Amino acid sequence: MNAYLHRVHYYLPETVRTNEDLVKLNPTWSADEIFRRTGIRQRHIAAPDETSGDMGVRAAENLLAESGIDREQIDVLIFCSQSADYYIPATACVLQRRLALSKSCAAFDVSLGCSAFTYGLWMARSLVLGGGARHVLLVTSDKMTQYCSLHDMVTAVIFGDGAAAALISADEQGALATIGPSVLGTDGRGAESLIVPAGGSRCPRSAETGRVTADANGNLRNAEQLYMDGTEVFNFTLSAVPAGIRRLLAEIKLEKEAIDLFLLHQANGFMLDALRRSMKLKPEQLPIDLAEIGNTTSASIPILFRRLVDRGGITPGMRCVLAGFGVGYSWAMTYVTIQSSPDAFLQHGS
Amino acid sequence: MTEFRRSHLGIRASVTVEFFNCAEGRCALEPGADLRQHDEENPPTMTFHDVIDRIAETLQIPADQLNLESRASDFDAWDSLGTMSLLLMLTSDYELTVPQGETQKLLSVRGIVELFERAGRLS
Repeated sequence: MNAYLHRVHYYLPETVRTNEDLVKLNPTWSADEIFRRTGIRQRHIAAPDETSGDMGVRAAENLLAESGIDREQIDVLIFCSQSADYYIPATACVLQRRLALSKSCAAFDVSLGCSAFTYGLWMARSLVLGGGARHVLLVTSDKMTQYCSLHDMVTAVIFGDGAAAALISADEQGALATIGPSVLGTDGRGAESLIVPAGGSRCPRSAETGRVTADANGNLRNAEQLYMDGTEVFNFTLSAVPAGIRRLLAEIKLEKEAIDLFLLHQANGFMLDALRRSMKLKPEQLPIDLAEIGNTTSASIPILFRRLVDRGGITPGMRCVLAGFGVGYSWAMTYVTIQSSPDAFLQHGS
Repeated sequence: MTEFRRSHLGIRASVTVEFFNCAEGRCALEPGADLRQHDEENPPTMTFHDVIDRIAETLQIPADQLNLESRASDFDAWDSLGTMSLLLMLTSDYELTVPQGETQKLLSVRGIVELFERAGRLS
């Protein structure tokens, strides 16, 4: 028995924030320098009243309309986000109603960021192979810009908002890809390197946590906003990602040369280029597609995947390694093989 | 010849020997070739001056402006991107690992030298 990836779709908010927009707010910054450092020219920004749940619904509706699956058939809804609509209840429960899914559908949230999609594939595959579900709807959605100070160059230039949805099924008919094994990992020592320090139970919001301060590099933010130690995160990435991929390749008994595509979380251009260099991969093996989107955290891998499909960059029989990594620290790598005879979706996109 | 060596520090000993054995001081290897393909079992060992040269090359600042007391705050080019470039150089070219929570060492020449020293890679 196998678990299959049937469809992937996504949603990006209409509003775009360019590097030039950021420079208007921060006259000492340079649009060209932002691009040189990140490989990002613009990012999509959710509307003030648009939530991760809203974006997730849009992505899921795009997917459901395209796949034609009967909503009553979906057994499980997994909603992954670090910016859920509520503390209580789970956003997945709200989405069950908004997407008109069956009342017998299990629905739950997963609080993970950049590793969420590959964690989700692992969970969905496990559910399918274990017989607990036949059709799983995996939604990853994040409104990270709500946590970013517009005057913090570490985060404001990187993150964008977006959502993606994937349908995982036990049915081979019409499938796009077979989901293979995953390797996963966690290192909680990195929790404070990428964190919103205040606003939860550990440090509730207060007048003090809302006070804006400047760090050593002149970045302005308060404790309710996202803090990222870029060098520490980069250090983690350079060790965990190649090691995780090596573990996966050992498990599936393939050399890296046998992998057509390494679809990595689109963190930033510098980091991806560094990983490509570190792992000694050919440029065409590790696509980078974030110039017009930015880092969409939990949605970045499925957005990359779908955009490659639409451009003809994914073809029948391809072997792919998907790798999510980031906040936590948390990482997950999943092996996926494109079907040898996928339906028209792959040949033409849609 | 000196210039050639300085721009390709980190090469394995065998490659260095090959270079110096080249007839009439000329080497078949093009100056632009990447010579940093070292033997995984015999990673390159560096002198203090080698380390200075690699920091200078990575940050694109003159090597003669660097000494053991130099710090990131002394140079515009040694900003966050420069620091990450140094980290990439250490991990990719020398397979050095910087322990979690110790990336502050990348903000000074002394710290970087310590990383080589701790790994037994400083001669």
